[in-house]
Amino acid sequence: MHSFGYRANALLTFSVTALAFICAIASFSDKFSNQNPSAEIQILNINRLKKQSYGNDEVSLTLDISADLQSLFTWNTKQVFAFVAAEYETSKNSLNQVSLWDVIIPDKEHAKFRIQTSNKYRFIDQGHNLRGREFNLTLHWHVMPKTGKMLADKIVMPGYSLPDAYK
Amino acid sequence: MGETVDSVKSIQIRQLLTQAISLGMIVTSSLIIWKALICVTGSESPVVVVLSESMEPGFQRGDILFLHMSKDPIRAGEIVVFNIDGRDIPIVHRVIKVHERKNTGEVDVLTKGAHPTKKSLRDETLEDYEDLQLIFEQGLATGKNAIGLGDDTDAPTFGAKDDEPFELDPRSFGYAEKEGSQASGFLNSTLPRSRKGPSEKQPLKKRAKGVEGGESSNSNMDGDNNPGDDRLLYAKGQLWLHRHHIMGRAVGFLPYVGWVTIIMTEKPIIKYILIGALGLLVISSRD
Repeated sequence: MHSFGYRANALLTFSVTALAFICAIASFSDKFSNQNPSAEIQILNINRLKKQSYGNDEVSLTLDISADLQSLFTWNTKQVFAFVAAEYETSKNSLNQVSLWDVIIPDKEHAKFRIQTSNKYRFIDQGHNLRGREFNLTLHWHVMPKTGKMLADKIVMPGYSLPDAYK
Repeated sequence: MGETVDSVKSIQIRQLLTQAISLGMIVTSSLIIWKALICVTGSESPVVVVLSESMEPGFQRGDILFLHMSKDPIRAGEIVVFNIDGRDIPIVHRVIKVHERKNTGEVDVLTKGAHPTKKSLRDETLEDYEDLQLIFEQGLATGKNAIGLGDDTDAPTFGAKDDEPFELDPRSFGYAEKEGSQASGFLNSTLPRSRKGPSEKQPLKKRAKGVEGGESSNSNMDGDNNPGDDRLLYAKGQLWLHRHHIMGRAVGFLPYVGWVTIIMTEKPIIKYILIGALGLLVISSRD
């Protein structure tokens, strides 16, 4: 009962269990943080609304995104992945979500920002439904912890719309 | 004398059997736990190890992800693990586009890797992308322009964003050294890239003009570190992922623990050593 093998085994088991327990507690502590992020998005310009040669509508736009996600960072946060998605409904699809821009925020200092950018990913519809379309711009964020459960939430900003004709 | 030998032998046989049975119990109880996890999480593979760096800095190689597959619809931003037909290793990437059908509720999904700020990622992924480029050239592209030199899009074009293949950043495919690198900072405003590069870009550009599938549900996904979306990784001719491709959503995460699996896979000798040592331990624990 006192051989090296038994002691090593007991030590290993105990340390693994203790580590797992600590990780779970670290993740649990995230529940107690107060989070109040804020964001605002403006469309500076709709650069193009066109029909692609093989069929679907495509939009190119310039956005002004300002956000303050500093309250999302806790001691157990590794990074926050934030992205802006355009969400709209069409006659065929009950929901379309197209990610327009995203960013990885590695720490709290970078979490308050304002950026003007054109859309990083192409905004392409399945079909020709974008003329005059109203859509929401939603800022989503995913908090990736150092260990444990990942959290995700969003701010929905409704009321944006596209021009009625191709341009 | 003969009786003593017989009794000693029978004791040894009994001990051997006992140990064999307890070993069997250990193995089967871990199997039971694994299967129960599969049932509870609804995913065929409830725990996966991250093998590539395409999700850095969020998920490093060697991290463990806990997956869960609920009936909730797949939404943009979720990190999903999916299987491509013909590939046996599942891929962990992020959803960037979702198109959900009204009547059937089925979903089209596109996924993606992330930003190529690391030069090593551009170089390391080159091999895979050369293979993928072969696949691409055979079937996905349709268009009037041939793949070759001297296309008029070689000229600098400012402001024509519809020509810009934002999704298909050739920097990530190892061509950056030839074009002059455009290392992107963490928050950069993306003015349209004016310079079109050498002809190697053409095949990649054609992929964007390929046939758009209008099939039912599609998912487009991304790994956080690749600039283009994952259509290159999908099966030939496949433009979207559907729900049945997806094995689960990542809901939890443990760093570093997966290295054990990676080491055992890449150096199987360690696996044999471990199993041998465990066996020895079981046999020698007779007292």
